Parts: sequence; structure tokens; C-alpha cells
Amino acid sequence: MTFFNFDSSLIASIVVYVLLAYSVQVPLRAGVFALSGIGCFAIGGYTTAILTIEGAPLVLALVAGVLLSAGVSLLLALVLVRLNSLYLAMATVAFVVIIGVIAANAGDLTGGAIGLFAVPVSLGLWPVEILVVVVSLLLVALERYVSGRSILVAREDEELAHSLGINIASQRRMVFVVSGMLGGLAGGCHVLTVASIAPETAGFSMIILVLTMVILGGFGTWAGAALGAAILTWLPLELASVGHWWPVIYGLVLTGMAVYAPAGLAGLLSRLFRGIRRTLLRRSNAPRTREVSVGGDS
Amino acid sequence: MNHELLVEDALVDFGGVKALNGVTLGFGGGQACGVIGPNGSGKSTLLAAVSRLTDLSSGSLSWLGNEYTDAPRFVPARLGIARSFQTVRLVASATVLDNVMLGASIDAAKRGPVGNWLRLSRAAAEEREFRRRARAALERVGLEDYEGAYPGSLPYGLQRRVEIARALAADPKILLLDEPVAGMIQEERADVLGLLKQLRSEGLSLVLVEHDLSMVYELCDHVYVLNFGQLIASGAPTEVARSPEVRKAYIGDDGAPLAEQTEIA
Repeated sequence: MTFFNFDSSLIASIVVYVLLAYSVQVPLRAGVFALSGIGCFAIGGYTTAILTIEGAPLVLALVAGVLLSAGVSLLLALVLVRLNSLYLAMATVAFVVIIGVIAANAGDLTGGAIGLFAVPVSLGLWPVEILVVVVSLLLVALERYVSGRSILVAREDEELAHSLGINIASQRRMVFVVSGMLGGLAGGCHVLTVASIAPETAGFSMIILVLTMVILGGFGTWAGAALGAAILTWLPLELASVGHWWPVIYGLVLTGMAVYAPAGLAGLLSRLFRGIRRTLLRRSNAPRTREVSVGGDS
Repeated sequence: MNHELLVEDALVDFGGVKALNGVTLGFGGGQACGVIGPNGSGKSTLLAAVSRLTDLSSGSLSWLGNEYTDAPRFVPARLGIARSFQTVRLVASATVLDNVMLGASIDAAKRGPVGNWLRLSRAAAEEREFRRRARAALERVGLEDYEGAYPGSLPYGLQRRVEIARALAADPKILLLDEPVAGMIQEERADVLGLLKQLRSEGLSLVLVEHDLSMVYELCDHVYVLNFGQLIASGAPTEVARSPEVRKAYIGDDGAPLAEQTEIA
């Protein structure tokens, strides 16, 4: 009966990955193919870990990690201002890998290839989980009620967005910074929940994992990305016997979803619900039609 | 003439092809200005330049005496210069109301993302105000029953009206229209013409790029005629129609008065 063994630490790591998935989903929704949030996961994580080990208060360390991530992301946005689509994706992948290499080679500061462990975190898991949920809701609310339409039009038609007075460049910088802050916060929360951080948090496998989460769930909706993150955090624990074959599974999932369900699980679910509703409506309509035809006969 | 929008010696050089070649003219003053000319004469390029979607190679643009020749592309909309496009540009995945709200939320666009996020608490009230403005604009163009529809499901003529509503919702000081009645049936044309007359009588300045000369003559106070990127005539519609140069450029010099050649489009 371990199948639904949802303890608090699993929930904590799920919410951390939801936040990380959002750090990639925010730019994707805005039509900006930037994966730099994953690099900020390491920046936020290492900053929080290092400062905590040095004796700084936890909350301060976490905030410092988020602010540093925001600053680095803003610089990155300014440097990559002219890049788009695949070129931008490649440049931001390079950024993630560079962060990983720096983390692995910065000696005692980052703990080298092993990383930092036994970070003295004493906050407990629930505050982290609540924080992540609050931030996610805030993010969704901001897009829903404040920036949604201008993000949509900037993605669909840049020239039209200009002619409506929207400053796409500043919106794009904002997207980078928000993505970085989400990544940095996810990294800090990761340290708060597992008390360690390693260079692998910024690398190719992490990029693939997070992209799989976003695509599996469906980046059309916030719930979709969260669903993807939850499934791909929980499933590997349940199916530990798969061992080193996980990248193969991710690859198959990515390909399969891209071909058969580009809107992700969220899209599949909403299609399923629509189908059920239509069937139910047809059933409830059917007797009435028959009545009418009977009435016509007599 | 009291023109708010001045174009001086505008030159747009697309790699050797001069789409605009030294055009000087003015729009505004509550007037309806027509811009006519054969295909490829530079009419749409003129609108693109004025709304900063195309850069001038040389020359200048100014609004109320302030030059905006090299301003960022989002500036004209913030100055109060709204436009519609020759080929309809609506966001297909958003409803008609949401599309028009894009125009209505010009104040939010001016503030930028950071400013908007900082006043999240007032966002709901502001959103209601934008929705009210968008609905008012939809009502003006007679589309109040279509606010929940998606643009792709509407006939072309209605899509064009959604664009006009989007431009109006921004409460502009001048409205640039690039062939607003192209692809419309006769009754729709009459409707749009009536709307534009109404807008002009309320003091809104209009710029109308149009093939339908009858519409230009009926609506416009002033007409500019372009040919090969140059301004070849300017004046009241009746004056322009009599100009031999215009007849030659536009319909070939067959001696017929231009006013009778209204079905060219």
C-alpha cells in the first residue's frame, strides 16, 4: 500500500518542482524560449545554502538567493536582447550549463562536485510548502488579471503589440526576471527541504526533466504544468526499479506527447470532460426528441 | 491648417526601392484626410511610417511639435495615434471583447509590466473600466452582440469592424484606417461610412487610406494623392479630382472626370 504514500517531504519536493516548472512556463507562455530559470535554481539554491552555512538567518538567505537570481536574469536579458526562438533557447541552455560548471569548480565555496550538504535548515517543510503555493497563486493571478492579454498579443503578433502601445522589450525583461526569481526561489526552497544542493541541479538532465514536466502537463494552463511536475516528481520514487532508464522514459513521453497530445495532459483531460458532457447532453436530449416524433405521429 | 501630426520630407528606402520619396504633409485638426494613389504608390508605407512600424531613412515625424522620428515603436499608440491594418490583425485565440480590451487597456500599456504588477490591488477595478470602454466601442461599431465570439468565426467585414472598435477603445486623438471597407458588402460600407462621419463630427481626426474613391470624396475634407512614393496632389476632393496629374497617375489620362470613376476598387 505504498502507492499513494504522499508524505510531507514528497509534497515539499513536488511543490518545489512546480515552482521550477513555472520558471520555464512563464517565458514559454510569453513566446520567449528561455530556460535560464533552471540556472537560477542553482543560483538560488547555492546562495541560500552558502549563506545559511555562514550563519545567516534562513529567510534572509532565501531572499538573497531570489534577488541574486533576479539580478543575473536581468543581465542575461540585456545580453540576449536580440536573440529569439532556438538561438535564445541555446544561449540559455549554455547559461544553465555554465552555472553548473561554475558550481562544480568553485572549490570550498560550493563544495565542488559533491555540492553542499547538511545545511542547517530548521524551518520545517510546511512553511516552504505554503510559501510555494502562495507564490504560485500570486503568479497565476498576476497573469490572469494584470498581464495576460498583453503577454498573449506580444506572443502572437509583435507589431500589433507595438501598435497598441505595449513595450515588448520591457515586458521581455520582466519575463526573464520573473522566471529567474521563480527559479531562484525554487532552488532556495529545495535547499530548505532537503538540506543539500549539488551541481547537477544545473545541467542538461535538469533541463530535460523540467521541459518534460511542462510539456507532459501542457504549458497552455498553469494547472497542466503543475500536474506534470507532480507526476514526474512522484513517479520516479514509485518506480525506483526503472533505475537509469528514466531519461529514455522522458524521451518517449516527450515525443509521444508532442505527436499525440501537444496540449499536454491538461488538454487531454479537458477534451475528455468535453466529450463526457456532450455524451451526457445527447442522452438527456434523446428521449425528448422521441416524444416529439411520437406526438407528430398521433 | 492646424495639423497635430506632421510628416516632413519622409523617405523610406527599401534597399533601393523608394516606397516614400520626400513626402511632406500633415494630418489632424479634426479633419478627415484621405490618402489615395495607385497600388504601390506608398500609401500603406506612409501609415506604417507614421505609426513607427517602419523606420524613416530620412525626414522627420512630429506630434504636437514634438519629434518622434526615432522613438520606440510603442510610442505613437501612447501619443494617441491609433490604427487599423490593411489585412485584419486580431488575436485569434482571444474573444472579440478581449481583442477590443487590448485597445482599451492603453493606460495599462503605458504603465508597463512593473507598474501594473505594483498596483495589483486596483487591477480588478481597472479591468472593469477597460471592459466598459471596450463594450462602448463595440456598441459604436454595432458589434455588441458578438463580444463572446472568436474573430475567426466572424465574416471578414465584421472582423474589420472589430479592428476599428479596438482602435476606438483606446480613445485616440487621431485614427489611421488602412482600407477599412475592403472586402465589405455595400450595406456594411454604408454602415462604416456612417460611423466614420459620426466620429469626424465628434472632432476625431481621421486618416483614410482607401481605394474606394466615392468613400474618400464623401468623407474627406482633404485628399493627398501619392504616386511612386511622391505627393503629386493635395487639396479638397473636388480640386484633386480635377487635377490632370492625378488623372494621369491614377486612371490614365482619358479625359473622364475622376469623380465618375468611382468603381475602380
